[in-house]
Amino acid sequence: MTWRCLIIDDEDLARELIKRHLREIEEFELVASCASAFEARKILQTEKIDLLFLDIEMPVLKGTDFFKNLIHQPKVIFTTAYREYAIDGFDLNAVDYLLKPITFVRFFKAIEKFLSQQTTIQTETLPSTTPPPSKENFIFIRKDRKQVKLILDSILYIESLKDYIKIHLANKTHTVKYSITAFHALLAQNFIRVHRSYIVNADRVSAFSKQGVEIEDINIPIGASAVFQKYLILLMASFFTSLHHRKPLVATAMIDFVSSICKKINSSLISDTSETQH
Amino acid sequence: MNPHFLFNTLNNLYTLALQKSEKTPEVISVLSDILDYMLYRCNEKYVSLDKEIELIENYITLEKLRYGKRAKVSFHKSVNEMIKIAPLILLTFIENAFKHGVGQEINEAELNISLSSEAKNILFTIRNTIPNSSSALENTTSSIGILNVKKQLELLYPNSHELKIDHTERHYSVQLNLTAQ
Repeated sequence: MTWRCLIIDDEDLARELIKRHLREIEEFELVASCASAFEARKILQTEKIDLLFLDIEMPVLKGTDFFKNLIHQPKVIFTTAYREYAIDGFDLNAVDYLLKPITFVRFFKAIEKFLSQQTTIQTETLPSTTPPPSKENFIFIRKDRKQVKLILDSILYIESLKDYIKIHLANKTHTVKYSITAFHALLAQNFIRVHRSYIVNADRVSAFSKQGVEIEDINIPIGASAVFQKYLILLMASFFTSLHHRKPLVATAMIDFVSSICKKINSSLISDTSETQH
Repeated sequence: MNPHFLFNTLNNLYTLALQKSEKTPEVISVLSDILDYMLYRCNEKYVSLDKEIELIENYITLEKLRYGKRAKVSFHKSVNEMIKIAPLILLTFIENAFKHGVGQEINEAELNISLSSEAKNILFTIRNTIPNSSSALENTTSSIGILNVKKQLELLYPNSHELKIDHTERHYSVQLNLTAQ
């Protein structure tokens, strides 16, 4: 996991310092470094940002006022020479409030704080057990404060709804807080990501074409990416054929092959769509 | 002096040190000169104008480090070396001009300072561009720093000073005439 960061400070050297500190920490990627809130707003419109390093006292628009008015607020660490704004930072649910001069030791503490908050959020929303794919035939998902057992074979397809996913079974659905990409990693290899917003259970597919796949009379679109189209049709065709002929050895070999290619497709699909997501 | 200025400067200094920049020793020396002057050397009621000029130059060096190309600063001086002045009064106006004129400007700000003396008279003017944000002007005229300086001037230069604060649409300017005591 790489966390995507954005630095906002009107002073060159102050931005340079955060940039240097960030370079020391592997999992953090600097997306951009902005001299004003206006510049930052443009970046936030086109890029997915997980963490802001935000100065407060800046020309025209203060960091705190800028942050207050963001519709999608990333996590924020304030960086300022002003001791007296700490209470504002607290009100805005900041991860941390760093006072200049910002030493690496103190910076690192803020980073650890950010990371610990991220894992708490993840364990809250993750299914409590994360079995290795294809060895177990069920997983547990957290729903309405309960751990619900989910038999993987019973899943028809999964639909992404922003921060949530909707898991479609034959006779019901589960809506849980989860990203489709992360959830996909928990599933067995017969689950194929056919679209930015859909994962299908290949065993349940009854028909497919270039436009989409059909599961129990429901049409699911196939992603528009060229690479996706090309490989998917080819691979699904041989995959279904091998299943159909009940040749377990061929099927197993095919599954491995399909999943390795699917991983490539998925990663290209994700990088393909991330530009247009926000 | 504004403590935020000090902490911001230390933050920049920390960056320069990490960068192993050649500027690091100079900045440390400038900063320590400023602190030395403010803490130990200006306890007299009046100090030599020369020393005040040195302080102003040092201060400008550090502000330029903060704002880089955003600040276009000029400082012209033609003074009689022997003349004396009440300490830190001029600096308040300069700090104020940087804070509101440069600190609040997204684009390039201009700041012109001039200091001259003739016989017992000192003439100081400072002029800065007004940033495009509307709130900036209010801040400058009602700043606590400026109010304090006005009180100080009443005490140190009774009936021997003249302070004119003025602004046009684009510029804010201060003119101070002092007659040495």
